[in-house]
Amino acid sequence: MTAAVSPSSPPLISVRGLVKSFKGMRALDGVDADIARGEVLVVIGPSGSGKSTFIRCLNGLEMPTDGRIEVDGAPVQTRSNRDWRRARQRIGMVFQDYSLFPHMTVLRNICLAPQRAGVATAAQAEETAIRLLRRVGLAHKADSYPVELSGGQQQRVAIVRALAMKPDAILFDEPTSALDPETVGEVLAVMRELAREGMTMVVVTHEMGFAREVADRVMFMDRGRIVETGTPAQVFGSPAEPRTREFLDMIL
Amino acid sequence: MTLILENLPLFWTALLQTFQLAVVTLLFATLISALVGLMTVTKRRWVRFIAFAYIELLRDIPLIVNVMFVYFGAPLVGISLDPFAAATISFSLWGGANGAEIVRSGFASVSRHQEQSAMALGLKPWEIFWFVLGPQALLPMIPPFTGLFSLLIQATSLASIVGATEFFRAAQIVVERTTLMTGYSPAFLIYGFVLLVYFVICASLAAGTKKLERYLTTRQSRRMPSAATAVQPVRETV
Ligand SMILES: Nc1ncnc2c1ncn2[C@@H]1O[C@H](COP(=O)(O)OP(=O)(O)OP(=O)(O)O)[C@@H](O)[C@H]1O
Ligand SMILES: [Mg+2]
Repeated sequence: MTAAVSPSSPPLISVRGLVKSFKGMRALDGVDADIARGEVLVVIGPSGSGKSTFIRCLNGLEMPTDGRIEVDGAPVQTRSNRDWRRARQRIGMVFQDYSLFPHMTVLRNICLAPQRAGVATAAQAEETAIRLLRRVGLAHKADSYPVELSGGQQQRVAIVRALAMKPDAILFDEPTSALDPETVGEVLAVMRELAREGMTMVVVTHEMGFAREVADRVMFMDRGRIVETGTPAQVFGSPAEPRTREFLDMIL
Repeated sequence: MTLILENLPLFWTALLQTFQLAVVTLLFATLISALVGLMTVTKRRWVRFIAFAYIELLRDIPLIVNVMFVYFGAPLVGISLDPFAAATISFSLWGGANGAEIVRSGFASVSRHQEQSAMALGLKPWEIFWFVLGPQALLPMIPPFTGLFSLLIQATSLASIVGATEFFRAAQIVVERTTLMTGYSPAFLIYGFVLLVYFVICASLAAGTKKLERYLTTRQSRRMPSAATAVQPVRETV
């Protein structure tokens, strides 16, 4: 969306030869990718193609079997939990099932991590939280518990929770797949807004309309490999690979 | 009734013994439960192995055998235990094993996604445990722990078999003595009284924890345990 993608600046996240095996089964089979600052990368592909595994590797929720991951030019020791924890504080993640903490209010959900990480004092964290909540239209829900919110509202809170850490990038794993159709729009609207502001985003989604409109690049994965990467116009309009065409014909 | 009143001093000291036994047992059983239960949820394989071995071993032995074993086994390793100590130790070990299993399943009941999303926020392992997983695991532990506590209080009567004069033993003594002296057995009356006392103790415990549970549910979490998961159609991806 933004023009922040300049060839000279190093990529925010750089992935080389990423392999992840589960009991001999290769979920990722040599993935190379660069994600530039301010870029929105949308990852598409059939079920089981490794999309989730890919973005989970980007913040160490999955320990890669092989390969290199660099964040802001610095390699992350893929085996070091400490390294990953620091990286995670800079790379937020939003899950399909929101995963808010059910025993905490919305406000506490949002403030916990920034406070613990020393990113903000309690007062600052709350101020930020309220400001962000207001932006997604949920300031009045600050003292509610997650169970009192609709799915779309919970997911917006989850996005705010990730934002509160002031991350360099946010990973989304099918953020709207668990939502009722009528609430999908409100979550996509928030994501669109983030993209417009220049947030670096990696989004796994089946919302092709969103991909077409918001993505800087679309990456098509199949069987643990990247089949094709390009602008939405290229990938959706004139896919180079027959496999991509096949997939798009199936879902569109 | 007069029989009970006549023997009130005996019943009273015995009841105090029972209380003492119960309180000490519950305390140690809880400590062991927490320790071993947490051992089952650590990442280190050998720590988990020890915990599971302990749990399986003790849960598979009848409590009564356990008491006898500790009481008569201790002298063999050069320790002589009075009945009270032997009973406390064996009840605590047994209660600890069962409690550890409750703690383990409490943590198992918390969705794996909770840990994941806490990790994704960059929280440290202890922070994830203390702020996210622990509080959620606690609530479902309350009912089974109430059951276990109640069971342990009732089990204190087993201390009588190694000769501890606790409440149940006192009742036995009164029954035997009265039968001997009057030729008529007051067993029905006395044991009815004993039954009532145990019932009152355990029922008030249950009522107390019920209150605690409700308090925690409404004040701390307002979470309807099953509803919280039921309302979210979640497709398993991990
Ligand atoms: N924890 C795991 N243990 C074993 N196998 C796994 C695990 N996680 C993923 N896999 C396997 O790895 C492959 C890729 O899974 P992944 O979840 O990344 O696919 P996906 O593209 O996200 O699919 P979907 O669209 O269904 O979410 C699948 O075959 C899956 O079964
Ligand atoms: Mg997935």
